[in-house]
Amino acid sequence: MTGLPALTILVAMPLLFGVATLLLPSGNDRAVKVLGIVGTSAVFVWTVLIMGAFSTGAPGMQFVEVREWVPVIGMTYHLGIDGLSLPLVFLASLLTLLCAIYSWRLKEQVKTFFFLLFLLQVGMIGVFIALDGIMFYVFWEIVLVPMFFMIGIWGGERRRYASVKFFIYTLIGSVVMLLGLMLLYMWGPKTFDLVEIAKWGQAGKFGMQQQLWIYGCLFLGFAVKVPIFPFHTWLPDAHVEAPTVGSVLLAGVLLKMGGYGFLRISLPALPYAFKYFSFSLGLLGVIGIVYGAAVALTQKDLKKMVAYSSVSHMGFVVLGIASATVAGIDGAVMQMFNHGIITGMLFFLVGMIYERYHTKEIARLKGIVTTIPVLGVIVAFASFASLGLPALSGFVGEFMTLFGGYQAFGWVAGISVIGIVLTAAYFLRMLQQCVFSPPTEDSAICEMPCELRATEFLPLVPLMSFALFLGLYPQPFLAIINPAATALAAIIGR
Amino acid sequence: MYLNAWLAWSPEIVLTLAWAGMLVCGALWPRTHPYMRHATLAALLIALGLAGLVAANAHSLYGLYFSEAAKLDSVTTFGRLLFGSAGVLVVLASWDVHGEENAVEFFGLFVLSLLGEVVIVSGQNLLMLFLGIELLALPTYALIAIHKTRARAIAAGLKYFLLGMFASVVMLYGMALLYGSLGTISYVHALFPDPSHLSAARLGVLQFAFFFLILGLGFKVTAFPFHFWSPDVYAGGSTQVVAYISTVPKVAIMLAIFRILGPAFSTGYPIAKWFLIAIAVLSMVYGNIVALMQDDVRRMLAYSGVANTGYMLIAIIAGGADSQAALLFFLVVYTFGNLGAFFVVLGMGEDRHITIGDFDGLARRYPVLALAMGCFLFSLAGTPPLAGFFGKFALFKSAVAHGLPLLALVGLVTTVISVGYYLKIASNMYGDLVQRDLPEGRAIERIPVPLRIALVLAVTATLVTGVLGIPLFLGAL
Amino acid sequence: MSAVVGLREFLVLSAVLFALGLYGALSKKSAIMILMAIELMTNAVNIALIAMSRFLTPGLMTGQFFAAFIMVVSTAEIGLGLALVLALYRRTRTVEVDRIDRLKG
Repeated sequence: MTGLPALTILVAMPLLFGVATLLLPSGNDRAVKVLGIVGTSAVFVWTVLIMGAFSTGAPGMQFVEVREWVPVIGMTYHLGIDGLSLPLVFLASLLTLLCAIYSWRLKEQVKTFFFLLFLLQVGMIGVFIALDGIMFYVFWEIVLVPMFFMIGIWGGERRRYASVKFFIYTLIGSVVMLLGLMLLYMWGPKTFDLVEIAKWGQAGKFGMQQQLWIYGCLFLGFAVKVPIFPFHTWLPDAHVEAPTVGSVLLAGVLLKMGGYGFLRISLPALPYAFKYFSFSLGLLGVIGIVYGAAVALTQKDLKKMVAYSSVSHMGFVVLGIASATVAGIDGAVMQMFNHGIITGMLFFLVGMIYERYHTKEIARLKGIVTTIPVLGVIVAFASFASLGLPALSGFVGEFMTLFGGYQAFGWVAGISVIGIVLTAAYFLRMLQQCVFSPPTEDSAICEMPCELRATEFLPLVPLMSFALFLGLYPQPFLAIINPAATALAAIIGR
Repeated sequence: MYLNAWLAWSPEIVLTLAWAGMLVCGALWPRTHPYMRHATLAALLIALGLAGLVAANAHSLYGLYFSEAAKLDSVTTFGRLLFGSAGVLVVLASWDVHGEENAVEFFGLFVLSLLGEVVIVSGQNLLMLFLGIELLALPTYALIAIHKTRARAIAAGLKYFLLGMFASVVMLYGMALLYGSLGTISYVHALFPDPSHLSAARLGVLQFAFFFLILGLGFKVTAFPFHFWSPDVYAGGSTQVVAYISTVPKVAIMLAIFRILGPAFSTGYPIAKWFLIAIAVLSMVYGNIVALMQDDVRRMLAYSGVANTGYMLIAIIAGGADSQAALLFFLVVYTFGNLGAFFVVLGMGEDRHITIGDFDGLARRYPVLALAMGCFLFSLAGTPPLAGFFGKFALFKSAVAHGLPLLALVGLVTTVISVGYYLKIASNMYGDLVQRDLPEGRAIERIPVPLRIALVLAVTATLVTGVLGIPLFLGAL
Repeated sequence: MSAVVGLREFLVLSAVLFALGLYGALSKKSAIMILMAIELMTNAVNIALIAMSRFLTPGLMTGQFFAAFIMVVSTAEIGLGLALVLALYRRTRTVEVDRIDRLKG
């Protein structure tokens, strides 16, 4: 693969497949779906090849492509990948492929759907490999458009409200983030090249006051996306109305962009401000963990419960990032990956349940395991992975972020244990209620062939394998993340 | 030099000849009326080609002409090309509406106002600016009033006329004071000297002059609080005329304002600068918030025009080479996005108010029209990778680069507000693509072919400037 | 420079006329009255321009030229304005601006 612009190809592939989808003659939905699966598979294979060629021990960027682009506005064409971004790129490729498979039975507006899916993938992958501020922002925003349409077209009853709310909430955050990027440009090296900006920051050339301002601006953008408490209010609405695929990608990949932003931009460029706010950020993370879990416990809607569990789980990511210790950052990236796998799985499952029972109300769902044993078992598996049962992957990330948090903040990090207990409580309550209790007369009835179809079962297999494999043997992944995390922690001096 | 002047101004000469020819033919032979549109289109295309040729020979043709009254430079060329292309689109959109009825008046006045815009952009003194503005404005008053059926259009035209004249006079008073305090009306060289070289009395008069000048010009570009005429006038006139007067004249006057005031703020006139900052901020905030509350789409676009004026003013306040490039780019984006949005409204039907509800389910019944509208909306909203994003980005970046980060912040945050109403339409269009739980919106008559061409061209412009045009534009200017 | 009537006097006259016109334009309802008030303001501008030209840059005729152009343009404007007023009057039998607003066409 040497000599090829691997990352340009990676981000161009979904774009070309997307355009190809549009060019297919209308009426032939099957061809569109085949192209969709072939396209996402090709992107996935390419990602795996890049992963194979990635040299694990080395810190710093690999597969770098730098070119002048628009010098007038200080924009460069700069792509690169390191231990922070590789797992997330992998996650984005994997989940998109699984979503394409899951959408095999989609009936209406198939072409539009797959075009949006590819466009979404361009944005998701692009964010994680862009090393120029403007490119980062463009990819960051591109993601909003297909997601807006996914929620707005295939969403539930209140889809219009939810899609507009989603777009506007995240946009408020990102425009302020854009101001932060512009300030990095103006007060910094007069280029949007993030590597140059990071060098400038580590040389201590940003004034303290400047760092605090920029950090504040960037924080708002990242915090809305993660979402960090109290900026999370858009998330439940968006998830409840979004179609299954939208929810999977929203929770699985889009939320990670926020956490990634902290690690890619805020931490290396603004070490002083990062340290200054590190305790507050950690505290917000802890609040998020406990608050998300507590609210999830009170939810009557299954999907809303999973949505709030995301707030709680992303709290661990925030805690790990804020700690800025090696263990914390390792754990945060690990947790981002795990959350993508596990919550993606949960949203797939909720989608399958809803399709069969036409309700997401926890009180009306009963005895899934007796009616559809496979589905019931997988729901139980995913719940245990999500609540952090040791030997499943959720545990690794949570434990490492907690450990990092404890190193940095002491007993404050310990408060999040309450969140873990509450998480166990709501998942067990849900399992007991929906999966294992016997069906009663007023409970919802499965209204279609209940057994899982191949296109539904297939996406779950890799997700379950990853959850199990990374729980037992996280070392290969940690080896990818660790050099980058060590370098970041060294900047802060922890 | 004599021959050069003929060559350099050949696009305008062609348009003037075409205009005169149309008037004569129209008066003598009524049978030629249906061909006025062809003549206008042909003249515009020839003028565009000539403008391109002139630009290709920039080294020998660019410079000052007519005793330093007009300047041919890249900004003038930019204006010619933009006005010409916008003019082509408007002619295409009016193809059937003004096919025979009022054809001479409509197309004659239209060409005349396009000429006025070039005078505004190329002019190098206040007299030329005044003449250009009047040459532009007088035809537009009449264009608003020309309408097949409505008395309301005449009322709107009269209202536009009275307020426009009022603004002109206020602007003239400002020009007189400027002349009195500076002793010159030419802005070949920077009009405003370093304020420390002026006596206190002159400086005082100059502040008043700024005030009146900005007041008058602010009216023409619908800046808050001088925008009050635009919603009524936009709702009263016919859609293709409103599409025209809401974009191109504003662009021309913005370019002139940049020529006059742009250099002033680098030499430092703090009071005038703050006055303009206040106008810009209020335009952005007020325009966007009120647009959010509109139900009639044309009124919504009118208020969004007020907000966009605020964005353009940012470049003038920042004032620098990069701001100029940003402004020019933004003007292109605004012109095609706004024209396109109005054309979609035109395509949806002329005689009734088009409300946001009329867009319900448009994507299902008229997918191409909805896609075009989506393009314009997302571009106006500033979503990457469409042109609108880079336009706004360049503007806000120039503000940050010239030490006005808070102004950029206001712009950014109000952009989010604007997304609210643009998306309301988008989500109405696409909301029942799959789940059909809404009443049918209204049916659309067949959209005439010329309007379709205009729509396709506007979409192309929006996409091309967004994806490919950035290095081209920002690099070349 | 004349001892009795200088630039200041002309400018004050101009300002007073302008203010009168301004008041008229903002307070009158009839389109024709507004038109006349605006004409008054235009003439105030002309006076200011010519006076400044005469007293500040006596060698040049800039202000006079400017004023001449303004007169020509305002004639054209009046022509158009009266045409509009007439057209409206034929249809609605009124020339009052705030009454036209309430008419639906």
